[in-house]
Amino acid sequence: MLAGESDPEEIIKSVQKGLYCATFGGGQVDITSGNFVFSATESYLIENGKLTRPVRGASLIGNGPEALKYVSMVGRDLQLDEGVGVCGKEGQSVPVGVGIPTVKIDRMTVGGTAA
Amino acid sequence: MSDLETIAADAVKRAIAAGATDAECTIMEGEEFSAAVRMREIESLKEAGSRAAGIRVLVGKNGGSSYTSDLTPEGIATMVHGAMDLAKITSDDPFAGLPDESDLGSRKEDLELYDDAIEKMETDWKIAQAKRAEEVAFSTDERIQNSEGASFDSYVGRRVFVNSRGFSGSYRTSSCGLSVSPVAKQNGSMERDYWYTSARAASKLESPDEVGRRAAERAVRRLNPRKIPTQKAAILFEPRTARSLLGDLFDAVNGGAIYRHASFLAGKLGEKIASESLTVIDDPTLPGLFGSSPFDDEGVICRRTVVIDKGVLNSYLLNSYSARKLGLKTTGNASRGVTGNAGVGPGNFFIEARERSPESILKAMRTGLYVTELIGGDTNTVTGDYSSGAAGLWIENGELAYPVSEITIAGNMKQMFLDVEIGSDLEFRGSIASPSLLIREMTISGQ
Repeated sequence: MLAGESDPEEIIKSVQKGLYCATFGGGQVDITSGNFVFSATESYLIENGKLTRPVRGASLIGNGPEALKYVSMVGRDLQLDEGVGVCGKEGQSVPVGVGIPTVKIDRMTVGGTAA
Repeated sequence: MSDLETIAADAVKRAIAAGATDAECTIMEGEEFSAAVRMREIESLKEAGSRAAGIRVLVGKNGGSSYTSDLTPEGIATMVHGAMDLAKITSDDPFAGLPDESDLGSRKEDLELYDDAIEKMETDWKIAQAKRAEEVAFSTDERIQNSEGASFDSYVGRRVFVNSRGFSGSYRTSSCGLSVSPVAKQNGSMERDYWYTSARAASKLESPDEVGRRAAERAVRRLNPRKIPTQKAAILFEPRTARSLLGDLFDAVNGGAIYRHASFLAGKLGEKIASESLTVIDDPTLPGLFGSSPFDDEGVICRRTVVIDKGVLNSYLLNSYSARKLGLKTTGNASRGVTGNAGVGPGNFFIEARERSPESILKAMRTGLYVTELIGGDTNTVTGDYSSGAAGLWIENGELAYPVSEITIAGNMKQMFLDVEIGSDLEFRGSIASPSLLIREMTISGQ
């Protein structure tokens, strides 16, 4: 995703209550319906524009095309992932790089045990 | 004794001659076939044969492993030397060793693991099965216009194991399976589901018509899903999704996790950890199933183990190494490919069926979620924390009312298995099997 114009700090400051996801662990995408699930292995609560405390076991669920409609800020901090990913099919594989700046999505379902 | 057993025995002999105190050799060979069709056309046909030998040597308490696909005497000699060289540089492990001789053995009864009808199946017939399943999916409902394809797979193989304590054994296995994934579409909503059948004997497969129809019905009933609010609710897992919960439970009774203190069930032997209605068995001696075998992957005779007995944790599942670490006896659950130290794997690991049909459980629960698909699950075996993305059907007035998606379900396994109700519909589609499971309260995150 191309970089936007916002300072990542500004993006965090603009959030009253939300979740800052630093690292994702496992996840899965249903490419037919577009639904996805990702579990955050490192995430923090954002309260009044500040990261206040770490959150354990948060998982995000949503629908890809739907979630993109709620992108309201895009950071200028685009960087490619440091690891090299590999995509493969039928015994062939290619190295791939992915990268995305800090992105704010205005609404998304966060799962956990506290209802 | 088969030729492969002679080769394995030779490998063990060479290792002992080269100075190993103990050695064990596994040889696997197999032929696999796969036919994939999509939108009525053949997409791929694959046939592959494989053969490999692996050896593990012990020089005192130092182990080394190596493997090869070259089963000539030269290839075996190179493999043995490779393992011996590695044993010189690995560190001491006081728990390393082969199983006790008294544990070694092989079941004498016919476990029905091999069906020669599978070897004789014609390629055209296999392709026709896949095409038929997809065709039936299309004709079941007009909203099925697209498909991720159907496939027919088959496998025949042999596993051989010989060790330096006098064990030598071999058994043949076969399997075949048919699956189809139709895509349903209506008013911009697009959903996919699948159904499959697999068995060790050709005659045990469900018909392509049955597979196609069930897959189509499952895809169609997911169309136009609703979102539901975040809440606590009862959740009924159908056998296909209940299996995954049981897979998590297997990880928690796996001897490897127990001796590392990495399971919420470590140190809980003899304690009540689940509802009295829950009995969990590992039984590799049931004929014709995927988790059955006459001996485990280190030559220990297979046997039935009651893992959870009416809610009380009765046994972990162990290979000889984890048993030694814990001061217990192996349960005959060693599992590995051809090489390396054995891990722990399930035989037929299942929850014993109870009396109530899933329909009557559904009626009695009145409201809740019927889970038909889990995605992106993440279970913490150390704490028992469970969470997963889910899709399914919402239950109202004891009946399936409408599809729901974009939700996560969460709970803790310690609590979930205390508050569970078990259905009557146990069926084996793999080595881990469960009837429908009702968990009385879990957290659903939605809108």
